[in-house]
Amino acid sequence: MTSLGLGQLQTGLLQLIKGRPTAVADSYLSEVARSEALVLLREIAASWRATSIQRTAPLTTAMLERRGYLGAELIALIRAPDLGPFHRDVRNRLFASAANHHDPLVAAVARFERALIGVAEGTLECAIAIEWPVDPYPVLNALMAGRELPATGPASHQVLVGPTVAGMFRVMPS
Amino acid sequence: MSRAPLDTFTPTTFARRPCLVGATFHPAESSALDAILPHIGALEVTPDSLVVSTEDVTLDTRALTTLRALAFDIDIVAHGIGLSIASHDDWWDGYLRCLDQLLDAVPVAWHSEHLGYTRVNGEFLGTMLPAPRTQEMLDLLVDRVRVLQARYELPFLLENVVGLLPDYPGAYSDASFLNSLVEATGCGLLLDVYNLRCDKANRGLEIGPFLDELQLDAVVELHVAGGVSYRGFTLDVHSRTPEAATLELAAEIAPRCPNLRLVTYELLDEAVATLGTTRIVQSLTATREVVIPKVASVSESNVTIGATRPDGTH
Repeated sequence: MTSLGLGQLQTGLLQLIKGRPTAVADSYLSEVARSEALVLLREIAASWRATSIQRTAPLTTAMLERRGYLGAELIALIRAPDLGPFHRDVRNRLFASAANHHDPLVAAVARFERALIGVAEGTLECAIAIEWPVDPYPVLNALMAGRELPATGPASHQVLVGPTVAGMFRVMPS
Repeated sequence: MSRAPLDTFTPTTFARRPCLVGATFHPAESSALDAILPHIGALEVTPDSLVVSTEDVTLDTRALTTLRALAFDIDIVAHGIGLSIASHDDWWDGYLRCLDQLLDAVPVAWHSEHLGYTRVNGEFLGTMLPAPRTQEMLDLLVDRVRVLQARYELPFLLENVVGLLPDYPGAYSDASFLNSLVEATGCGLLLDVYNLRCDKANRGLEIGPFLDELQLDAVVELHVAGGVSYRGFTLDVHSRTPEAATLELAAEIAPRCPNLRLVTYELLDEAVATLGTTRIVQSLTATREVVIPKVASVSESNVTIGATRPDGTH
């Protein structure tokens, strides 16, 4: 028999959805914890976040997926206690993480896409240079076309992105 | 059909109108809007979907300008997602700022919210859960609905939310909980017909007895929608066209709702491009042909729906 107060009930469900241990022992919360619906609800929450970043940061999302990092990024986005529902906030949180990724190609794509959006939205006022470990064009073409990444050897490039750069960006071998 | 300018608009002018077919407003899909406009009498706009700056919660002025222009030809209703009216701690005040901006710019016939919550202890759940049908929840909701009614001189509707998780044992049935809210506050109801079908499939809601018990004269708007089945569950993702069974159920419900004013085909922004305007228009046409002929004719006796409280005040 359950007799949770409203706050206990909602807090317990929050903890279960976020994959955290529940603070109170209760038969209803135990039933929820065992339910298929909870697994499904977590999947739904992940799919909303995935949809959000696919819409707002398609290159970075595709890059994370190609490298096998997307699942971990989604879990981090779902569990972030201070992240709301807005696409823009979710996108910015993704960029903040991916732009400092240990995989230099992921970091380059995230920094590049963030800069392009900054130009488009008018928040990037000065040009910035982004280091790429490979030639950006084959990678960007593959990401935009939904193809697998090409096998390319290391070839450092620098990409200049800014509001006064013709076409928003320019690729330069470094 | 044309409408009065903003300064002469009152909710009752809408209430005297016949039942309309409506669609969801998709601010980023202007070509879809052009295609569906000839087929609708109302647009349902989600204020929190128009947010362009999350720091200070400001809405897209271009979308507001578009809506204001449209409001001379069609009716606009507001349908929130983010208020989180059933959160135990607090609702999301940012939603009220969204609604304030919409109402400042656009004449709106009524506003509505989901009878659920998306935030707990200030943290976003990542999904929406239905309000538990307990006395504590009811008391909190009654207070909050009254605050909304005092703040906005517009009819306010609450919408039934799908429950995927095991049902929390409460003091009320699905219908009696809604009835108690209506009786205590005079709010109206937005009945999502597809959500009823989801609840039937997922948790065995008996739709017939639910409707028999529900105070159907409080129903002002119906939603029809389509979703997907996944791992044995029917999901209310509102990403597809409404199935014939959904429209038929709406057609069964409509004649029992004497104050029904709008039947809205609800569709996610993300689904517009996938479905395409042809199928969206087909769904709107099907809604008009299947549901609207069943709607009870408007009478002068019910022109104040949603704006009247049980004590007779407005």
